[in-house]
Amino acid sequence: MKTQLLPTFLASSLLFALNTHADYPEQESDDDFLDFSLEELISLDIPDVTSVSRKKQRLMDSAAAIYVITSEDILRSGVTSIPEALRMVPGMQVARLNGNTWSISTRGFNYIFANKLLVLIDGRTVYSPLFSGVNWDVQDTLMEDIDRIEVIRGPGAALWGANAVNGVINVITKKAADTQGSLVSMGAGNEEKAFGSYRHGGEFGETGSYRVYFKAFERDGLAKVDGADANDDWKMKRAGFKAEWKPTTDTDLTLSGGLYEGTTRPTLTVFKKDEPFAGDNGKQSLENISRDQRGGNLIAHWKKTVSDAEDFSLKAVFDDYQNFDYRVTEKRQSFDLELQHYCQPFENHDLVWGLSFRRTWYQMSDMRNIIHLDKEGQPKDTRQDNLYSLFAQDEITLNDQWNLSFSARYEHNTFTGKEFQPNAKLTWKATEDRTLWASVSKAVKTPSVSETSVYTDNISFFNSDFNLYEGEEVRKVLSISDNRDLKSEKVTAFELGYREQFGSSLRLDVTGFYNKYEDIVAYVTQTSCPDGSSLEFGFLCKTSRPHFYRLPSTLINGVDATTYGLEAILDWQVQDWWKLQLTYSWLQIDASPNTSNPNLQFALKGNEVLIEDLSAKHTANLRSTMNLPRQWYFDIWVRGISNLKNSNIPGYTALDVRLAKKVNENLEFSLVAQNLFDKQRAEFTEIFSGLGATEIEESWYAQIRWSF
Amino acid sequence: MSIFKNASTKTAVLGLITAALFSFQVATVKASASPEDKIKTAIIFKITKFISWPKKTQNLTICVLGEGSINNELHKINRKNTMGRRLSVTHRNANAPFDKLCDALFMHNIDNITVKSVLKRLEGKPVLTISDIRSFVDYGGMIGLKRSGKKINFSINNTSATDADLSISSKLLKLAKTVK
Repeated sequence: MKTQLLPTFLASSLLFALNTHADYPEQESDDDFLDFSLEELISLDIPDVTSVSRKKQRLMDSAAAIYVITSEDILRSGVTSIPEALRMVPGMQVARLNGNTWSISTRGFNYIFANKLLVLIDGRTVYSPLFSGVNWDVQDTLMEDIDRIEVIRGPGAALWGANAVNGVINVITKKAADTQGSLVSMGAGNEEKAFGSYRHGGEFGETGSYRVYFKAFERDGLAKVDGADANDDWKMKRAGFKAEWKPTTDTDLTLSGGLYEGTTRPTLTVFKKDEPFAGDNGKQSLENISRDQRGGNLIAHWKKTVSDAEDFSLKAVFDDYQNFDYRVTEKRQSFDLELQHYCQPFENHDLVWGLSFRRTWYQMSDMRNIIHLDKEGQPKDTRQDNLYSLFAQDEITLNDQWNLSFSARYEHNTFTGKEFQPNAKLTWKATEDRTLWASVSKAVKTPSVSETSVYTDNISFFNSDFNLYEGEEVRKVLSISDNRDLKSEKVTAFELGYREQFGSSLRLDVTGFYNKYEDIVAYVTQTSCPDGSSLEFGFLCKTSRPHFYRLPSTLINGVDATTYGLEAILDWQVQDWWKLQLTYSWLQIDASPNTSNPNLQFALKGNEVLIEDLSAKHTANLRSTMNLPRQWYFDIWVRGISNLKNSNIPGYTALDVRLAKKVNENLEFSLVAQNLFDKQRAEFTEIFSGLGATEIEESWYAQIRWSF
Repeated sequence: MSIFKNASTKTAVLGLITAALFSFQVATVKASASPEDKIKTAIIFKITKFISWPKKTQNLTICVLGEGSINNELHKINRKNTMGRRLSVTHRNANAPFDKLCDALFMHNIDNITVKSVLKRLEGKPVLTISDIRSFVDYGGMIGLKRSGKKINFSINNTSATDADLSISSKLLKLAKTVK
C-alpha cells in the first residue's frame, strides 16, 4: 500500500477537512478528549486519518502540495464521478472531451493522453501504459464508499514510481467496518438518466467485517456543436466487495475486488480505407459505435504489526481490463506484488522501504488503425512487460520544529531499463499554526507502449480542406511511427510551501513550484516514408489510393520545458453553519526545442507551441457549504478556468448547486443542478485520438439516500 | 554489479541496501496513538465515573491486558482523579491475579480464548471488565466498546456487573447502545 507513505494528518484535520459537522474544537493537547462529556464522546465522529499515520503529522505539516477531497466534499458537491470530483483540487485541470473521456492534469500537459499523473484506487494503479493516461470512464465505485481522495501535486512522490511526474491521485475507500448496514442511493435526471447503488455491510467471525455493493447508471449523451444529441451515451454496471479481518491479533488481512462492464459510444472521426471518398474528403464521423469495456480486479493486503515502531506488509493485486474499441481491441492483465517494511532503525528515524514487481500482459486484435510491433518491427498482437523496483524513505525528526526526509526509487522497466528517482524534503514548523516546507525531486516518465511499439494510421487529419500541390487535389492523413529508442522524459522539480492557521476560522495554504523538464516526447515529420519509398511534394507519402497521402511522423525526445506557478487554498469558517473555500492556481509554461538540427526545427516549433498552449493559465474554485436550520443543506460551487489556446476553448465559469434535506439520520433527499445556466459548452478538443469532441449540457438530477 | 549505469546509482543502491539491513535492529520509539485510541481512552476514563464499587479505596486501578498503540494513551490518564479516587494504570499479562490487583480491566487485541478464560476467572469478582473486542458483552464482559461507522459507542452487560456487586448508574445505562 503506497498510501502508507502519504503525508497524513491527525485529529486536528478539522482545519483542513471542510467537514460539515464540526462537532469538536481543534485539539490543543492530548488531553482534549478527556474534557468532553461522555455524551459528546459517543456522538462525535472519529477524525479521518490516513491508513498509516505513523507520526503525529497533521496535513498542516506535510511537505507536499497535498489536497484531500473528503467524503463530505464528495457527497455535498453532488459530483457523480471521480473525474468530476477532481475539479475541486486547486490547479487540477479537468476537461471533458465527450460524454466519457476526460483530460485530467495538473501543472501543465493537459491532454487526454495525460501521462504525467499516477492514479491509484485503493493502491491499485489504474494508469494505462498502453496508450498513456487513464480510462476515466471505467474508474468508479460507490461515491458513498469513498473515504477520501488524496491528491499530491508535484513529483514529491519518488515512492510511487514512474509517471508520478506531476502528481499522484489516490482514491481510498472506507473500511468495511465503517460501512455497516445497508444503503440505497438512487436518482434520476436529464443527463444522469438513472443511477442506483446498493451496498450492504456486515460482520463475520470474531474480527471480520465485509461489504458488498452493486452500482449501475445510464448517462445521456452530450450535445454536438449544433445542439443535436451526440449519442455518446454511457452505461455501466459494477459489483464488488471488501472484507477485512484479523487472522491473529497482530495481523490484518484485507481482501477486496470488483467486476464491471459497460458501454460507451464515443463519436469517432476516422478515415475509412474502403470508402475513401465518403464523408468529408474521406473523413467520416462514426456514431453509435459501441465501445464495450469490462474488467475486474482482486486485491489482497496482509499486514503484520510487530510493534508500534515496526510492521511488514505484503500486497498482491490482479487486474484485468478488456476494451473492445473500433480502433483496436485490447486486453490487458497485470499482476503486482509489493513488500513493504516500516521500522525505526535509529532514534528519530522513520524508515519505510520496500520492493515491488509488476508484470503486464497485453493482447491486441482487430487493429484497424493501430498496429502493435515487436522489437524487430514486425506486427505482433501480444506483449509482456516487467517492472522491478526498490524504494525507501527515511523521515528524520531533527527536533520539534525541523523535519527532513529523503526518499528514492530505483526501478528497472522494459522500455528504458534503469531509472533512479530521488527526492528530499524539509519541513519547518515555525509555530503551532505556521508551517513552511521545501522539496526538491527528480522524476521520470517512462515511454508508453504506444510511443515505442505502435504504428498509428488513418486517424488524424491535419486539415480537412484539400490543398493543391502541383495542380493535384490532396487529402492528408497522419501516420505516426513508433520510436523504440525513446528515452524517459525527466523532470527536476522545486517546490516551496507555506501554510498558516489564523485564529480558529481562517486557513491559508500556498505552494509555489518550478519544474524543469528535459526530453519531452514530440511529434516530428519523417524524412523518408515508412515503406522506404521517397517523399512526394517533399514531405508526403503515397497511399494505395490516388489523391490520398500520408504525412509520416514519428516521436523523438525533442523538447525541453520550464513550468512554474502558484496554487493557493483559503478556507474560511464564516459561521458555525457556513464554510467557504477558495482555491486559485496560476501556471506558466515555456517550452523550447532541444536540438539545433534544422530539419527538426520546424516540427519542434509546432510542438513547443502545442505544449505551451495545452493548459489554461488560471483556474479557480469557490465552494460554499451551508448547514441551514431543520436539516437543510445548501451548497454552491463556482469554478472558473481561463482559455485553452490549443483546443480553442474560451475561458468559462460554471455553477453547480445542491439542496438537500435530511428527513432523519438515515434518509436524505437532494436536488442537484450542474453547469447551471449553460445551454452547452465545449471543454476540450484534440486531433490525435480520432475521438469526436462533444459539448457539456446543463444537468439536473434528484437523488435519495436511505440507509437502514 | 554492471547493471548500474554509473557509480552514483551504485552508491545509492548500496546505501539503500545497507539502510535496509540496518533497519532490522529495531529501536523502541513511542508511537503516536490514533484519534480512535484517544476517544476510547476518554470513554473508559468517563465510564469509571458512573460505576460504584463495593469498596471505595483511595486508588482506582485500571489494568490493561493486550498490546497496541492505545496503551500509550491509557498511560496518560494515570494519576488523574475520578470521583475522588486516583487512577493508576498498569499493564499486566494474562496470568496476573486481576481480582487482587485491579478495580477495572481493559482487554484489547487478544484472542477470544484468553478473553473467555479471564472472564471466567473474574465471574462475580468486583472488577469492571471493559473491552473493544466483538461480542465481549455476550461472553459476560461488562462494558463493550464498539466502533460503528465513524462513531464509537458502548454496550453494557448489567447482569454481569450486578452479579459482581458493581452498580452502574442509570445515566450510563441510558447512554448505552444496548443493555443486557
